Amino acid sequence: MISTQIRDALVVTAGTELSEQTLAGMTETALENVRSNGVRTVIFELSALRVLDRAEFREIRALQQMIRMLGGSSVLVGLRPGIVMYLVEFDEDLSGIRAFQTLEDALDALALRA
Amino acid sequence: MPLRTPIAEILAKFQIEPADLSRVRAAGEVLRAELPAHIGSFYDWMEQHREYKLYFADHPSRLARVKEMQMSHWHTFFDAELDERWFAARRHVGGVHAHIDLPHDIYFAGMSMSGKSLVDRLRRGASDIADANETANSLIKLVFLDTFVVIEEISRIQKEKIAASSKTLLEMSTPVTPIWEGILLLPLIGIIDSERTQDVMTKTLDRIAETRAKVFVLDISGVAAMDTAVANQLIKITKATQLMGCETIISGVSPAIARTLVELGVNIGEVRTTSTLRDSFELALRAVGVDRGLLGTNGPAKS
Repeated sequence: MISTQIRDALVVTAGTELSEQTLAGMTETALENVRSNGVRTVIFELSALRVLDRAEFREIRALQQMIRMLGGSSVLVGLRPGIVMYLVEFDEDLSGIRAFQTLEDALDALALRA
Repeated sequence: MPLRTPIAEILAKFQIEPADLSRVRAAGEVLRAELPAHIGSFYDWMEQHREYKLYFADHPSRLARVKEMQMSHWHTFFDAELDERWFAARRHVGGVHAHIDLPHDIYFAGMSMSGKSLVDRLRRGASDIADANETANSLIKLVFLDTFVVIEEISRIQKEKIAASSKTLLEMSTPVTPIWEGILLLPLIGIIDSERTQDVMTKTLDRIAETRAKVFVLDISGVAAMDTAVANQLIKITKATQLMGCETIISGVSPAIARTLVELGVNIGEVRTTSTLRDSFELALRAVGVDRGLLGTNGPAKS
């Protein structure tokens, strides 16, 4: 897990899979930065992710909720077709998710590009 | 191709016993000599049907070849050795007939004619054969079995052809096309079932990943019927594209479909829908940031 701050956004990049440890690290980094470093938007960059099961997806959803409670917002970037189809097929709750194909698109939409 | 049913089981089903086979072999002693005459009368009969003209009129050499094959077919028939080779030979006949798309009726009619012709010849030579009636029954049973194996192969091949072509049709029926920088269009036409919506989902998501499209216009004006299941599938597709960062706009919603959806209580959520493709396209262009002014002023009159 790598995180980079761009102005008031934090890009959190995940690897090929989400381990328990990665998820814990993501949670801590995201929440800590929203609380004390002036981060308003957390961008979860998941394009390297090959698999994502429902439990892991719910963890991300929970993390998104925590960020919202701290007054921030979050978006998902780079989900692969296979993962998307799996989540939709199992009727996961997808309401209110903002998502983008590429980091570039996300930065554009959030008006963060120079 | 291996047999699906063991030979013994098929023979039991057709009530063909060793006694039948030996009676057929005995009948062969008499009837083999009659085969040229039988085949002659078969083609006299065949000539009255349009299939004869269709398959043989311009191919005299084909006719000779077919007669020869038919001759050897009846010889193996009277050998009555119902082994794998016997079945394989019948299936080969089926393959040939499937290849030329021979209608079932003419094949059945031909076998019926042949059976009758052979039994008639048997009766005429009855004095030379012990229990001619029993023999006639055995002959007929074997003719039916023979016909069954051929027809089964024909219909197996036809089913294969149909399955292959419906697969092609499915491929052709999901043309997810980029129509503008960042915009994909899919006009859905015909009947939508779960297999097709699955296909639509896969193709669309792959295309979005490939083209990085921001807007996906799904035009359903050509969809024949809409029910809850189909509507829910379409909504699933819109949710999926959303996760890929691509907004779906459904166009071509007819008054009838709008009514059905509301009456069925389908919750279309935040999906944007328009009645015309034109409106969807305009929304799509705006979403990818094309200035309305650049598009000219040939829009709908305002006054």
